Order: sequence, then C-alpha cells, then structure tokens
Amino acid sequence: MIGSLSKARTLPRWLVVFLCCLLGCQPASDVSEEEHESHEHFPPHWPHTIFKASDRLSELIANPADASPPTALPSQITPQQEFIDLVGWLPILAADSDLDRATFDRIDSASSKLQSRWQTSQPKDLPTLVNDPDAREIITWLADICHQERSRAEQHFNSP
Amino acid sequence: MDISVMLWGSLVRMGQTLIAAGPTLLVGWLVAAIFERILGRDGTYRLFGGSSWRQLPQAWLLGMLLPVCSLGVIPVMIQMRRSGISGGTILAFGLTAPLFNPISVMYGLTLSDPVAIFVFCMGSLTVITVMGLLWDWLFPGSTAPIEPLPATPYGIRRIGAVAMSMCQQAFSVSTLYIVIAVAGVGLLGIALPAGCLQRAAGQSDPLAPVTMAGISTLAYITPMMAIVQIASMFQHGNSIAASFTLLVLGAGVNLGMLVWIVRNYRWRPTLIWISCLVLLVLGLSYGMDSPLRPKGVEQADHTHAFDVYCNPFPGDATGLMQSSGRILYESLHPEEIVAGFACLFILACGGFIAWLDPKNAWMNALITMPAKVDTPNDSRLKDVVLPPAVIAGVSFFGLVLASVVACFLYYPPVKEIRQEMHAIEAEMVGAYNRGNWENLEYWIPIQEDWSNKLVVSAYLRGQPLDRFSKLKLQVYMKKLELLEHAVEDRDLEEAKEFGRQGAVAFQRFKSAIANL
Repeated sequence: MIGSLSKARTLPRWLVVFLCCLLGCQPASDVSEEEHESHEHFPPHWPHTIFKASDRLSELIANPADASPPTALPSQITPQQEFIDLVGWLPILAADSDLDRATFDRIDSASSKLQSRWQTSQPKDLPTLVNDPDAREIITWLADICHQERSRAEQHFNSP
Repeated sequence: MDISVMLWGSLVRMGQTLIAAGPTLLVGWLVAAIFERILGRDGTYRLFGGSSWRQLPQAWLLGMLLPVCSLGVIPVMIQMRRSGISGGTILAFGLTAPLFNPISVMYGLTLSDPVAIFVFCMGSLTVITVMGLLWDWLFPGSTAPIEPLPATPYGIRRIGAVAMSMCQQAFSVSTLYIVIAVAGVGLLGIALPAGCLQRAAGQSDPLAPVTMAGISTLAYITPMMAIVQIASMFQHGNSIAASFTLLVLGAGVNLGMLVWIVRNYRWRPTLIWISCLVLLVLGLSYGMDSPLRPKGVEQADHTHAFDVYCNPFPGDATGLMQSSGRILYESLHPEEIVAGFACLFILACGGFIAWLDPKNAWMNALITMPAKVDTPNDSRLKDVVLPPAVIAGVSFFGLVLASVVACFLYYPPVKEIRQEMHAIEAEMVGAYNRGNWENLEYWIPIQEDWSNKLVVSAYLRGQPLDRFSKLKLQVYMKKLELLEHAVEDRDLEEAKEFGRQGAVAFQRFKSAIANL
C-alpha cells in the first residue's frame, strides 16, 4: 500500500501526465460549422427512391457500352460500381416504399443472390454485369412493378 | 474553448455519470455487504475458487452475472482483497464485471451480430485470463493476508448486519475512489471539445482503436451504455476494433479503479499491468476487426455515439446554467431517480453511523446479540438454519432468475412498446411543425431507444422481426437520424420534411409488425 507522503505527492504528477496524453488525443481543430453541415448521410449516387433506382438500372442495362456516370458523381464511382451498389440498395429502398411484403421478398432475395455471386466472381465490366440473366430479369420485373405503383399513385392522387 | 464552457460541460458530464451509476452502485454496495456479512472471508475466498485453477473462470462467470458497473465494482474488489484473494483474480473480476450483464448481453445479441457478441465475450475471457495469470506470475506476493472478521450469526441479526454493512460500504474509502473516477469523466469533459470524437471510430481509420484506448480509460460507461454504443457502432459500420477497445477499457477501467490499484499494489505493477492490458486489448481488437466487420452495412462518415465523452456545449455556447440543468433533467430516468435517492439515503446512514459509532460497536453488538431461544410452544415457527451451500445455491439461481425477470421487465411486450412509440411520434409531429427544438432533442433519443428495445423484446418473446420488418425499422431510424441532424442545425424546413418522412416510415413499420 502506498502510505508514504512521498508517494502521495507523485499522484498529481501522474494525473498531469494522463491529462497531457489526453490532450494529445484531441483533433487539430474543432469540428467547424461548415464541416458539420457537409455531413453526407448518403453516398453521392444514392437514388433516394426505389423508382429512381429502377429507372437508373433500366438505363444501365439498356445501353451498357455507352453508360456514363451522372456528371455530379465523383470519378471513382464507375458505372459498374454504380450498378453493383444500386442492386445492393434495392432491399432498403423497397422497404422505404409502399411495396408489399411479397414484392419486397422477391427483390431482397434477388439482390442477395446477385451480390453474393458478384462477391465471389467479381465481373470486370458493366456489359458482363448487365448480361447476367438474373440481373436482367429482376430489373425488368422491377421496372414493371414500379410502373404499376406509379400508375396506382397517380390514380389515387387524381381521384376526387 | 471558453473556461466557463469547460467547467459547466465538465460538471454536466460528472452529474450524468452520478445519475447513470445509481442503480449499479447500489448493487455494488449490496454485493460487497453480502460478501462481508453472509459469505464472510472464507466463503468469499471459496466463491472465487480459492487457490485452484478455477479462480479466473469463476471470476469471469460471476462478473458476467453481477449487474455492477466499474464504480460499483470498487467496494466489491476491496472486500475481495480483504478476503485474501489473489491480485490477478481481483483485477480479472474488476475488469470483467462491468463489461456485461444479462440485460446488456440480450441487447447486444439482437442488435449487433450475435457472433460478434460471442467473440467479444470470449475476447474478454481471454483478456482477463491472460492478465490474471500474468499478474499472479509477475507479482506472486501481492495477495493481502485475510483480515479477521467475526462470523455473522444467522437470522434477523444477519439481515441487520448486511444492511448496516451496506451503509458502511457507502461511507467508506471506496466512495473516494468513486469520486476520483467521476473526476476522470469531468477531466474528459474539459479536455475534449463538443463533437470532437464524431470521426474517431471510422472503419477505415487504423488509429481508431488507439484513440479509443486513450479516451475510454478515463471515461465511465455503464454495461448497458457500452452495449448500446457497440450496437450503434455495428449499425453505422464503425471500426469493430474500436468497439472492442471501448468495451474492455471504457466499461472495465476508470480513473478511480486505477488509483485503487496503485494504492494497493504500487506504481510499478500497476503501470506494467495497464500497459500489458492496453497492448493485449489493442492486439485482439486489430485481430478481430476484419473477420467481424458486418457485411452490407454502409459506413457512416461520422457518429454521435461518443459525444457523451466530450463537452456537451459548443465553444461559444451561452445560457450554460439553464442548459446544464435541462441536460441533467433530461438524463433522469425513473429507475435512476429511485436509485439516486436510495444511494443518498444509504450514504447518509453510513455517515451517521461513522459519526456516532466510530469504533463499530453497533455492528459488534448486533452480531454478538444472543439469539432468541425457542420455547416448546414456538416449535412450529422454529428458525431453520440453512447450510452455506444451500444459501449459495439459492443466491446463484436467484441471481439467474432475477436476471431473466429483469430482461422481461426491461424489454416490455412489443404491443406496449408500439403504443409508447406511437405516442412519442405524435409528440414529435407537433414539435417539428412548431420548430420546438428542445422537445425534439428530448424525444428523438427516447424514440431511438424504444426502437432498439422493440427488436430485443420481439426476440426475447420468441417472435424475432423478419427482414421486411427489420428493414422498415431501419428506414424509420434513418429518418429519425436525419431529423436529429436537422434539429441540430435548427433547420425548420428540413425538420418538417424529415419529420414527415419519418411519420410515413413509422406507419409502414407499424403495419409490418401488426401481427406481433
């Protein structure tokens, strides 16, 4: 046990060392207001709705050879990366919509299947990705579903 | 940072620590009193495996079951040392008891990856085993001799002795260490400006565990708060290595405990122990980071999980006194209010006993008081003397049973939670339409908490949420997070937009779980 005064005197020094270590852990500057406002909660190519995701996927499978990323996207996001990400985000986007459970389940299982396939084989380019029959099937089917949903919503909106 | 901001921020963090520690502190005093007056020195020694190989696994198992925090464990460690238990076992128990309890494990299992929680449990077992063995190997003479203690007689005298001992535990040197630990939290509040840890645990930041080790050694985290933060780190794709570091060093260690170790085992062993502990934890953290990284989780660019370790006020904040009062008021939960008053009462009783009876004559009188002799007419009411093994068995199974009951109480039925969330959502609709920021700042964290509890409650009652419902809830929680940021920025238009989206997402989630 530390009982002597000399040892007790070392305690404040120890605390000072600890505090110095802590201060060394501080960032160089406080988080600025501007930096705080620029917090991005979504990736730059996040489509926000299942409809926009479906439209963009249909665009990519229609013309894979000439596909170019939207101008606002950073250069590291290639059309191939965008395609893979969009397919991966389909379940959460479907959950953020009024699509029913059965439709969600189909989207979810197709997305998981494609993702695990791409994780193991890693296709090199967009044409190879979009030529996957499963990918084409789900995207085409999704486009139909989204079209029906839009029509239904429009009817609901226009009804007296 | 302005000096008044530093001081007020520090006071708020210390106040919040004391509020949060109330329930687990009570348990710590009770356990210490039971060790002293029911188990006695020999019983406590045997409970922790005596001098056999079972010391460390038993310390780990008991630590997992007892709902104490790193403050409440200090009086228990003091009792263990007085019972002649080896330094390695005491430190192992002190380190592991605040990490988990059954309620927090249940939370972690459902909201993080169950495999990850299992690995974290095994990781903590590895840490305490290695550290305990290392300590006993390096410092074999560190065990204190058993302090003599007269046996406590059974019956009402024993119950009275436990109650009195609990008061004495509260008004003892252990409380000084608790005060030092709380001061450590205040020190963090002074040193860390508001929000400076928002990017401290990024998945791709190799220094995240090191930063976390530096911070969390001073921080105070209750077992529940630790697991909530870990679950949040998993959900936000933060560094897994930093989560494990936060769990072991944040929940397990605090400044008061370190000072206690120094006072009892001297500087050199303490420095060697803490250095080895940090190195081992960091080694394990880096090792488990990649294999446990959750798949399919988008990495958030920042997190608010660690804001609680920083000063709560921005550098130019004004109206600090009112804001401090409001933050502390909002930190109060019913169970903490009850526990806080109970702690104050026990502390006052302890002070009263120490003042009026400095020579401990009351306790001696209580335990030497002659037992009531049964007359033949009392034979049916005869007090049965239970052997210690029966008492120990009943206590152990009672603890397990109490843990199960506590889980069901802490996580109410889904239906009740759904009603509660519905009422809060209605409160929030009014608040974001009027731009009532303080109201929103109060309700959003509560709603997030209920959302997490709902997942655990459904799991606990054998009806785990399916993927459809889980993703619906995830969407709702994302909208809540967006609303939270709009509130931080005091942006009314954004708040209305995200609030409206949140209301829609909540309706969809409610429909998805309508059959639960």
